[in-house]
Amino acid sequence: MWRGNPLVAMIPPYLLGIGISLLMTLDFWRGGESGSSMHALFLYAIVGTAVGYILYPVKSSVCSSPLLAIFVWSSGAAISVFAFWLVVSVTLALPLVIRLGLAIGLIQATILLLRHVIGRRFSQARAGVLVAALTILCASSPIWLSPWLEWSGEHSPLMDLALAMSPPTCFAVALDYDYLRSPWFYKHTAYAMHRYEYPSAGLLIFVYGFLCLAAVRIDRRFRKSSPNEPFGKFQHDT
Amino acid sequence: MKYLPILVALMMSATTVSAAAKETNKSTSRKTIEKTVMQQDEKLAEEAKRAIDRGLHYLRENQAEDGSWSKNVGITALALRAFLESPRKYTEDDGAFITKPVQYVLSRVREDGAISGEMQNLSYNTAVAITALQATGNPKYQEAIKGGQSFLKKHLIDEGEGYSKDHKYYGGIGYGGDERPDLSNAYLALESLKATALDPKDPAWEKALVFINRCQNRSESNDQTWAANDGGFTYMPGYSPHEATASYGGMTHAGLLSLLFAGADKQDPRVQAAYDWIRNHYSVDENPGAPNKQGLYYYYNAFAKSMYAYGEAEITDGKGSKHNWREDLMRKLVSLQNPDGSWVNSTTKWWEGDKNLVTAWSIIALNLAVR
Repeated sequence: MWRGNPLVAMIPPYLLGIGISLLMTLDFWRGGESGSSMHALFLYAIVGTAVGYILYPVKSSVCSSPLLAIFVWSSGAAISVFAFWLVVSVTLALPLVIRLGLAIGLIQATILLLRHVIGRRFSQARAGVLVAALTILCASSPIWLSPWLEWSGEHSPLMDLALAMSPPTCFAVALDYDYLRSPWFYKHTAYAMHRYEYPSAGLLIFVYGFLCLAAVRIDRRFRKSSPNEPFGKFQHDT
Repeated sequence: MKYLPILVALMMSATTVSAAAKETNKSTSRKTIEKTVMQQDEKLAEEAKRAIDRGLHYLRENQAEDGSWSKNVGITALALRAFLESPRKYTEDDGAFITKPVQYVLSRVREDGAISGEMQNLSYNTAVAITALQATGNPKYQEAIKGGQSFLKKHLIDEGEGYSKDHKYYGGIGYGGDERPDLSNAYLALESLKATALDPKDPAWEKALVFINRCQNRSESNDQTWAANDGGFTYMPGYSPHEATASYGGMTHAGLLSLLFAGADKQDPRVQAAYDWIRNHYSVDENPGAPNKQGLYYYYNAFAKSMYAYGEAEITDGKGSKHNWREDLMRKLVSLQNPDGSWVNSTTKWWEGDKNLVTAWSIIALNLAVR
């Protein structure tokens, strides 16, 4: 376990995360059909968030305040989008990039906080897998739900719900980018053939903000009930 | 023998009189047929006009309190256009059922010039909105129209978005928001730019032609490797939602219109190739090349617009049969109208389960057919 400053401990994996995300996204973007810079930023948001989640240094961050560590890590993820923006598309309007950065930070914080509080009850490893699986399930809902949603008719609320629960929708709303009509989604989901509506930015901020606050509150309860118990050393941890 | 010349003269005059009588009879029967056909045409046109009235009545009945239809800028603009272009030529003086949707559309004008109440379908909504605003003939809306024009021109994919001319998306327009372009959106955008009198020398037309060419299955003008040679159009370069890169009806009419909007004339080989595809696949019973009634009413709408723009009353199909497209379309749409005045597609893909949208499309098509 890291004995020094936990924030300093986060720098190497953080830089590694940016590097991996840049490489993966740039490669994917250049090999893809769309040369759209908006599409590239959207991809970066997905890849960057996933890589950030995987590389988050759980063990080192628990030395001091895990909530602070999550906040710093998520802020870093949010800021990282500017590096990508500088590399691929400075022509894209800055307010959009700022909004995307906020969306990345919010999603990153939500999934890390969920992992953190679930890890209070189970092991961090199990919590990590559980939250990752849940996130992937939600993120891919427009794909796996679309064949089932066709029967529900024109402009079904179910289609809107499935879209709203997918984290990439947050990035799309931030960018004003209809990702369901990007070439891949257009060809592989039935969404584009039907009427659907993206949730408002306000609703998304409320839902994800609520999840974050709920996680912080649950974390406090855990701390109050067992103040001396160090994080990551529960009996379930193996 | 002395009576022979008189007999011959009598026979000749009898023959002449008989021939003249036959000719008169022929001419009378031809006139009778023409009169009957004209009466039938008029009867059909009257029937179509009544269908338009029933459709407009349905739209009025289903208009929301705020003047919109289906809570959507695009559908509202299309329904508004259906009223404005109808034989009754409704105007803003006719009341709130016209002024309210106009205000609804105007209330959705965004800072960037787009007219849309939602983040998706920006180009689509903007295009149909400025077309409808232009149809009001009210000069007060010029600012919104110019803003919409600028938005559409800005969203036309070109060097500004980092695309070079050799990219297959160059010159296209998508739903808005930087997505991949398609011919359906491109044609609606071009229609709106044409309707709102964008300068014919504007570079946007030339750029759009590059994209239009890349959607046509015509290897002489399409530089894409997949291009076939039937002259029809597909949805976007290298992709059709129905089968690989196959041409289909809705897009071929959209493609023909796009070519005409962008400045190609009737003699242009690309236009001729598209028209030949339409002739060879002539139908008002289906959207040729699309299965299960998919996009059928979109097809009828584009069909009416392209045939009207092409300017021929009759079309000769691939088997040599002549068709009056107006009559065929009127007859078909009248037969498909629901008792409540609406039209709807049982295949709900492409929003064709929305009665307001499909009714607006059908009326716009009939408005052109009865002209």
